Amino acid sequence: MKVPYNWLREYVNIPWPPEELAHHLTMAGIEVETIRTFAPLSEKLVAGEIKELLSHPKDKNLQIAKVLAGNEILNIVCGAWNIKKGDLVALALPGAIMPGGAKIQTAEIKGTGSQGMLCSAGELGLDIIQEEEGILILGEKCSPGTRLIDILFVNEPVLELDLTPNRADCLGLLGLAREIAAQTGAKIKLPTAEIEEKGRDVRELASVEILDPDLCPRYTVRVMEGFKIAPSPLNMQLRLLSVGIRSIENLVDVTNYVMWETGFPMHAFDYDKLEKGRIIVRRAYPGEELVTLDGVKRILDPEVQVIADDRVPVALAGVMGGEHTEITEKTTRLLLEVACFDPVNVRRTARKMNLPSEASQRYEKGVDREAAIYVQNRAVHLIQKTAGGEICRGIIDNYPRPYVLPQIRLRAKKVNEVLGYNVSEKDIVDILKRLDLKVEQLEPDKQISTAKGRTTSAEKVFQVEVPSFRQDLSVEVDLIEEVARINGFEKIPVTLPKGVLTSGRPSRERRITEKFREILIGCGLQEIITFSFLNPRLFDDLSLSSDDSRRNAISLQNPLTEDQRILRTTLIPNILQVLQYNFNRQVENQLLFELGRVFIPTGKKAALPKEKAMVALALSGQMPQNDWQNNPKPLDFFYLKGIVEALITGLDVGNYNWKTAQHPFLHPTRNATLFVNKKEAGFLGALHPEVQDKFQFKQDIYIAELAVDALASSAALYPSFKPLPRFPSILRDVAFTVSEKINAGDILQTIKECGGELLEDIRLFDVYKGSQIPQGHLSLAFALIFRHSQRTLKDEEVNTIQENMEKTLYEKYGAVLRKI
Amino acid sequence: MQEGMDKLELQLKEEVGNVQDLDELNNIRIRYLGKKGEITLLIRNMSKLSAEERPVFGKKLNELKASAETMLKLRKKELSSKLSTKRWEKERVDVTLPGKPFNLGRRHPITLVLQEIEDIFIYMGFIIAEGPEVELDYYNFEALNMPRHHPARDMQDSFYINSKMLLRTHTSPMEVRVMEAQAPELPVRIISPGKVYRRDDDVTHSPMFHQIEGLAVDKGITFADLKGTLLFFIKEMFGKDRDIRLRPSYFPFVEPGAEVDISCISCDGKGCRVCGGTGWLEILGAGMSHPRVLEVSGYDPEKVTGFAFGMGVERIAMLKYGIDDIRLFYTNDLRLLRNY
Ligand SMILES: [Zn+2]
Repeated sequence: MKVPYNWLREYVNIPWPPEELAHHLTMAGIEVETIRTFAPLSEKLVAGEIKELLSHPKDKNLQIAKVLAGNEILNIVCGAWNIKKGDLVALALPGAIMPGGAKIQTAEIKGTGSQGMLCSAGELGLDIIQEEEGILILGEKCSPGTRLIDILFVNEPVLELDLTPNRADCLGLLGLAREIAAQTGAKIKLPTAEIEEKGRDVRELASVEILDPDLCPRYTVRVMEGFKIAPSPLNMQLRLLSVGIRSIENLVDVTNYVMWETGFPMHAFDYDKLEKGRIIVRRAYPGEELVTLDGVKRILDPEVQVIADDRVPVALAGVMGGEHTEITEKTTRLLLEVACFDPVNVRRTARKMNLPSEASQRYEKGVDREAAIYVQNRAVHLIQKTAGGEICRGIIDNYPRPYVLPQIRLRAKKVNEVLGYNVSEKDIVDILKRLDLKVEQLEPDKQISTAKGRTTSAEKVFQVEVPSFRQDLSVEVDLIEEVARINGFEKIPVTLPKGVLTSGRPSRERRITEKFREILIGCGLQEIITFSFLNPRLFDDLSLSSDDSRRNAISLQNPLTEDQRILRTTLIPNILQVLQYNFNRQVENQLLFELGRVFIPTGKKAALPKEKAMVALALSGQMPQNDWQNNPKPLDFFYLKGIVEALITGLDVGNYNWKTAQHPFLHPTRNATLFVNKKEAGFLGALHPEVQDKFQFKQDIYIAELAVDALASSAALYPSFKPLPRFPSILRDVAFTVSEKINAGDILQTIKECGGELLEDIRLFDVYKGSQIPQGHLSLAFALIFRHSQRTLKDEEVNTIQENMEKTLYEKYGAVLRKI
Repeated sequence: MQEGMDKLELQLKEEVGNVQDLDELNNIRIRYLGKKGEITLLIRNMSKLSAEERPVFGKKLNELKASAETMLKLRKKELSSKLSTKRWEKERVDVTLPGKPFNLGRRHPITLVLQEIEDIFIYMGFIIAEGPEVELDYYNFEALNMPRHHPARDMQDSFYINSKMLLRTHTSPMEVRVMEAQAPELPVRIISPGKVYRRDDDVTHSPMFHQIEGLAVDKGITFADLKGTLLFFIKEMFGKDRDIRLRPSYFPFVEPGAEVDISCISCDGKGCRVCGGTGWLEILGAGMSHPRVLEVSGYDPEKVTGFAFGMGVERIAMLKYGIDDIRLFYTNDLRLLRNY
C-alpha cells in the first residue's frame, strides 16, 4: 500500500514529518518499508504564461514563444504546436535539472537565443494523458513564475506499507488517518460526499437482484448521465500516479481515487450496455463466457460469482469488469456499483483466473460493509466535480445481510493478566475510545450474566462495540492488543516466567544424533546439509531396479523445479551431488556426512509418511594431503569401514557384523551390508563404476548410508562402569593359512566364539599372501588377549582354548595353524 | 718411591689428556684406581713401609689419589659435554617444518547456530521436542487459527502433497502437537527446532530452511514474560550490549503478536547499510498464544495463558557470520564450510 504523505494529510493532522510518521506507524504495527519521493522535480521548473507565439525565421518546424515567468518575459524556442496564447505551461529555467539528469542552459537554436525550455510531461518523467500531445499545459490556476513543486502534486514523499493481512482498514487512506488519529488524539477530516440528485429515479432505470446473499451481502447502485469523458485534472492524475495507478479517463480515475481514499473498490458500467438495466448477482452457469477488461476470454463455472445483466455475465464479482460494458468515449450514462462480496469467493476466483488486482486484494481482506452509501455518494460527488453531469435520484441499496456490530466483553483485570503490567481503567477506556470503539461499563449484576469466567462484582467489565471498519477485532485479546499497541509496546516490562522449575533437556534422539556428529567429526568428516527434495531421474542414475522400494517416494503437487519434485528416500544422491560440486571446484579430498530424514510413504493416503533419520557418509581422495613425512594413504573401503566401526564402537551398540551384498549402485565386489543385533542397519561400499561415470567422477568414491535408529535403539548413551582389570592377561599371537574364498569375518567370528568369555580382545594384525603360502591361500595373523576377571589365568587353560580353536577352524574352514 | 709417584701422576695426566671416549676413560680409572689399579696397589703396599715413612707417604698417596679422581672427573665432564653436543647436532629437527596435517571435521554452520540457540533455551528450562516435516493441513494452518482461504496463508506459500498434507511451512504446528500430548499437564515449556519449507527461492529465501519454535504455557504467563525471555536469549546469543524492541505485528495464532527487532549488530543501533539505516534488525516473531489455539489444543484459555515465538535459524546465522546469500548454506562448498 502506497501512501503519499500530503494526500494523507488531507484527512488528518499529522504532527510529524514523513520519517517520524513512518517510525510511529511501524511501532504501532503498520510497518513502513521505505519512503520514496514521487516525481522529484527541480525548483527551476516553473509555470510560464504564453504571451506571444512567433514563427522561427530559419526553421518552419520551430516557433518562438514569449513566455512570462515572474517579472520577466523569456524567449523560448519550441518545437511543439499544442500551445496557444494565454496557456500556462511547464517551463524549465536555465539551471533546471531534468529527471533524466540533463541541465537546461540558455542556448542558441538556429540563430535564435532560447532562455530555457518548454517541457512535455514525458520530459518531466510524468506518465500522464492530455487532450493533445506536446507541451504540458497546467490546468491549475496560478501566477506565472510559480514553482511547479508548489502547484503540482509532485515531489511527494510516498510511504510504502508492508501491511499484515488483518489490517484491511489501512488499505484506504481514511483508515490510516483513523489510526494516526488514535495515536495523536486528533479527529479525522472526512471528505465531503454532498450531492444533489436530479432527473429520473434510479429505480426506474435499474434493478438489483442478489441470488446468493452469502456471497454478496450488499449491493448499491447509482446512475449518472450527462457527464463529459475527458482526461482527469492534472493533479488527480499525479495523485494516482504517485500510488502506481495510470490514468485512464476521469470516470475510472475517480473510482480509483475514491478506492484509495476509502479502501472500498467500485466499478463503473456503461449503463446503456446493460440489458434492461438489470443487475443480477449470481453464480456463473457452467461454461458461460466473459471477456474481461484485459481482453481475455474466460470460461466460467458455478464456483465463480458474476454480475450479470438480463442476459449474460458482465463482470467477475470483485475481481474484474467485462469488456463489453466498459466505459468508453461514447458512454453517456453510467451505473456505479459499490458492493460487498464474500472474501473467500473473491480470493478463489482471483487465484483461479490469476487476476490479483487492487480491488480483489481489498475484497479478499473484507471491506467495510456499512460504508457503502458514503462511498457511493463520495464517488458520484467527485465524478460530478470532475466530469460534470447529473446524479439520478435515489440509490438502490440491496442489503440482505446487514452488518451486526460485534459486542466484546473486556475485563480490565484480564488486560493486566495478559500484558503483565498495570494499565489503568481510565487509560484502557481512553485508548479504546480514541480507536472509535464504543465503551460502556457493565453493571455488576449484568456482568455475572454475560461473563462466563470467574467475575466478581468488584471487577470492572466493559462492553465494547466495534465499528464496522475494524473487522479484525472479534475477541477480548484483540482489544487487549489494541490497548498494548496504542499504549506502546515499549511500555511492556521485562520479567521471566514464574512457577515451577522445569529441567531443560534435549530428547534422547537429539542426544544420539549429537553423538553421531561428535564421532564423525572426530574422524575428520565435514557435516553437510542438503535439501530434502530429489529429482526422480537420480534413481535411474543410481541404477535402482524398477521395483526398488526407494523409488516409491512422495511427490510434491507444486514443486519449484523438476530437481525438487519428490521427497528423498535416500540421502545418497544429494551427498554425491555435493561431491560433484566440490570436485568441480578443485577440492579433491573430501570426507562428508549428512544427518537427515528420508520420507517413506505408508501406502495410506491420509497417513503422514514415515520420517526416518539416516546418516550418509562419503569419502574420496587421499589423506593426509601434502604431508612431507609420509605418502598419503587413499581414502578407501577400509578407511570408510573404520569410520563406521568407530561409530558403532563409540555408540556401544552391541553385536554387529558385515555381509557381502548386491546394492545396485555399489561396486559388485566391494559391496557390504551392516547388521546390528542381527537387523539390517545400512550399507557400505565403493560406488559402482557405471554410476561413477554418470556423475562424471574421475576418482573412486566410497559411500555408506545407515539408519540412525538401527544404531541408536541399542546405543548406550551413558555406558556403565567397567572396573579396571585386576589380574594379568595372557597374550597369544596366532596365524592361520586359509583359502582366499573364506571371509576373514567368519574366521574372526569363530575365534570369538571359541574364545568365549576369557577372550578379552582380538585384533587381526596381518594379512599375508606370498611365497611361503600355498597358491590361492592367505595367512591371517591375530593377536589374542585372554584374561580372567576373578583370578590369574593359567597357561594350560589358554592352551586348551587355543587347541579347540585350531580344531574348529580346521573343521569349519580348513584353516591350518602356521608356526610363527 | 717419590719418583715413582711423580711419574705415575705424569703418566696418568697424559693418558687422561689423550683419551677421547668415556669407555676408555673408565678403563683408565680402573687401571689406576680400580681394585688392582696402580694407585690402589701403592696404597695397599704402604703396610710394608716403616712407621716413620708411613705418615709422610700416606699423606702424599692420598693427595695423589684425590688428584687422580679430580682429573678423571673433570675429563669425564669434558668428554660428556663434547659427546652430547655431537648427539644434539645429530638429532636436530627444523622446527619450522610444518606439522603433520590433521583433517578436522566440522559441524555445518546451521548446526552450530541451532545448537547455540538450543543450549540457551535448555538452560532456561525448555525441553526440545521434534515433529514431522510432512504435516497435516490441520496442524500447519487450521489449528493455528488459519482456516482454509484465510488471507494469512498467503504469507507462507506452501508445497502441497495432497489436499490434506503439505511440507510444514513453519515449526508452529509443534505448538499444537505438544499441547495436545501434554494437556492438561502444566507447565508446557518447549522449543522445537527443525526444517521447514516454502515455495520461495532467492537471495534471502530458500525453499528449505530451519526454524526454532518456542512455547510456554502456564498459569499467569504474561507478555512481559515473553519480552524478558527473549531479551535474555538475545543477550546470550548476541552479547550483553544488544537491546530488543517489540513492534505490534500479526500472526493468526498469537494475540497480541509482535515482531522482535534487535539493535543492529554491525552499527550498534546507529544506522547502517545492514539495518537499512534504522539501527534495528528484524529477528523473530512472537506473541501470546491465541485463546482459540489453546482451546483446540486442550487447555482452558480462561485458566492458562501462554507465549510463543518462532525464529529463522538461517537469518540468525547470516547475521552472526555476515553471510548475505542464504543459498550458500545449501551449496555445501567445502571452501566455505571449512571456515566454521
Ligand atoms: Zn546497522
